[in-house]
Amino acid sequence: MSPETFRSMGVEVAVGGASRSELAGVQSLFEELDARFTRFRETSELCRVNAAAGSPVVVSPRFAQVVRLALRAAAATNGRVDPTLGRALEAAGYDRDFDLLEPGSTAAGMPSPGCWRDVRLYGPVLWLPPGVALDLNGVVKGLAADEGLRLLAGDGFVSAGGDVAGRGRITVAVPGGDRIVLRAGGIATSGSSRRRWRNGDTAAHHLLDPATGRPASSPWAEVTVVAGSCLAADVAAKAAFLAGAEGPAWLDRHGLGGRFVGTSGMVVDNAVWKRATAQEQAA
Amino acid sequence: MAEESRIEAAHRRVAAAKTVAVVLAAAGFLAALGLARSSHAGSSTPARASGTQTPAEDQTGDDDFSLDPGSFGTGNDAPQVQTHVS
Repeated sequence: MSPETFRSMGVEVAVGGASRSELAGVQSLFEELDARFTRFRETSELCRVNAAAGSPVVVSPRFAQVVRLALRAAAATNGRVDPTLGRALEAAGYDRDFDLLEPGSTAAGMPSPGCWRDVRLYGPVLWLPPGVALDLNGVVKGLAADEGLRLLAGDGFVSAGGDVAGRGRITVAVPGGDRIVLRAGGIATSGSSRRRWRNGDTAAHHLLDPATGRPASSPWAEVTVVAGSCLAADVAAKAAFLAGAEGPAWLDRHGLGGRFVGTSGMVVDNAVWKRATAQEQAA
Repeated sequence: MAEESRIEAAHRRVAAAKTVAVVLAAAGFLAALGLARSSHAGSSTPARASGTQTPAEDQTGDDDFSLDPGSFGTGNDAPQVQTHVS
């Protein structure tokens, strides 16, 4: 199952187990989602919607679907994964494609906290509070991996920048030097060890504390989660990172396995992760 | 002549009905918009459990989200893919 790769959404996408036509379908799916949901192209539907904040706007069925998923992800994580932090990301300096960020440049604007509960979606009519901008990247990448996997007839995987949706026995290298076998669902890693930049004199990264709109501080450098889908794994990994020391217990309460790599390099597995890997070893 | 008047009266009734329908549709939209804006201010509905509808959406049900667990265990084979921060 040697993977094929292409670039989309600012990351490398790897697809294993796909026929040529299935691979073309996966690539087309990623391109469609990227074109619609990028923050960095004025022609995207996301930019059009964000520009209309404060007024009701009619959105496409696809856009409405993703907003609904993002709001449900926010509800499921007690608002830790908040889709309304687009302006806060710009204020933190992440205002263009990551590869184009200039080190040390100072962004204009003040950080603003998240306000996902204030978003209104009635059928195709979406209303954002004035001045609010959506950033749906936290949902779109995982969704693309899950939907891409569904385009494959047999076993295989779709990895979007290391966030993986898989079916069959997929051996995945995880932070900390181990390997796991993903049988069904998704695995994703979030953290502050990449996508870091300097905003003036301050170090910044893309995982924002929704309470302040500023880059979050966390005892973790990376959090890896296995869940029933890549989207759920990605959302849970971000939420567990933002939960700080409570992250392992929060994942346990949801029955999700998580591996945490601390900023010191210490590796912590939560109870569900330990149980799943111990069972495999015993068998 | 009387026949023509009945036709004109029918046209007037149809036109009036269309006007009423348009006004009612516009009023309905404005009421929904007003509700959206009034419920925006100070809204503080508590978060719900995973896989449930949030207070900010209408009913659709075609794109549920849940934090269901996946299936995994220890692996010893060569890795096919790597998970990492992107």
